[in-house]
Amino acid sequence: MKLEYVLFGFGILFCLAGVGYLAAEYVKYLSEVWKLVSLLLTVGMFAFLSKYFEDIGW
Amino acid sequence: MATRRKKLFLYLTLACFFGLIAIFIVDGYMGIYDTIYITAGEQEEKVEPDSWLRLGVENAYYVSADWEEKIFFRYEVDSRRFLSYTADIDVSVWHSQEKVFDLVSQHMQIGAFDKGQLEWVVDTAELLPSDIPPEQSYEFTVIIKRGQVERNIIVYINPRTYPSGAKVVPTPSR
Repeated sequence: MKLEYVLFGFGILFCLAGVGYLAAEYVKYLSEVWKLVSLLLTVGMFAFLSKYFEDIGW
Repeated sequence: MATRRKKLFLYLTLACFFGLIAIFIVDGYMGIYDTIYITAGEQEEKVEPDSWLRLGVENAYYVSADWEEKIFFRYEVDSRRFLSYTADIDVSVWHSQEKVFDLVSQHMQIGAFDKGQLEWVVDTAELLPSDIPPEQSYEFTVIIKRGQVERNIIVYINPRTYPSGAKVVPTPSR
């Protein structure tokens, strides 16, 4: 069970690192509409992730 | 039922994440990007593709040069597409809304995920009017046309000499 949590932790870190890198490097080239869609998807991603962790008892 | 609900949230999280990645790749990375390198004096300036987004509709970039100096331009087009890219590139020098002369007129063909570049030199000695006093500055615009896209570089030529009455402002002591 502990190993699972470690793997989840790594997964979350990789997700954040990936999104952070893409945001820093390419967000300046995004058009306004896709910037908004990206923002909504980011909010959705963290909301669903929180819900998932809540459901598994974190 | 509870397990399915848990997995649903996990899948939705992943869907949002991959959606973000897809948007950044398709809208942020893919496309045609141009970079201009301008060397005046001993200094090279790099005009990044996103500079034009910040500069807005007027999209003019300012560069200064010295009297009778040569300015070296390098125009790099980066094609981040699965298809090859072709465009006619026309570079000309303008002053007071009038074309002074054409610098480059060339057809450019770039393969998929490849780069193409053009180089040219502007000799400011050829542009300065013969009757211009040495204490006067001068400006001209280098217009780069790539298909429908237009990039304007305004070159400001510093005066050769400053008026003798000009006062030197001392640097304030700290």
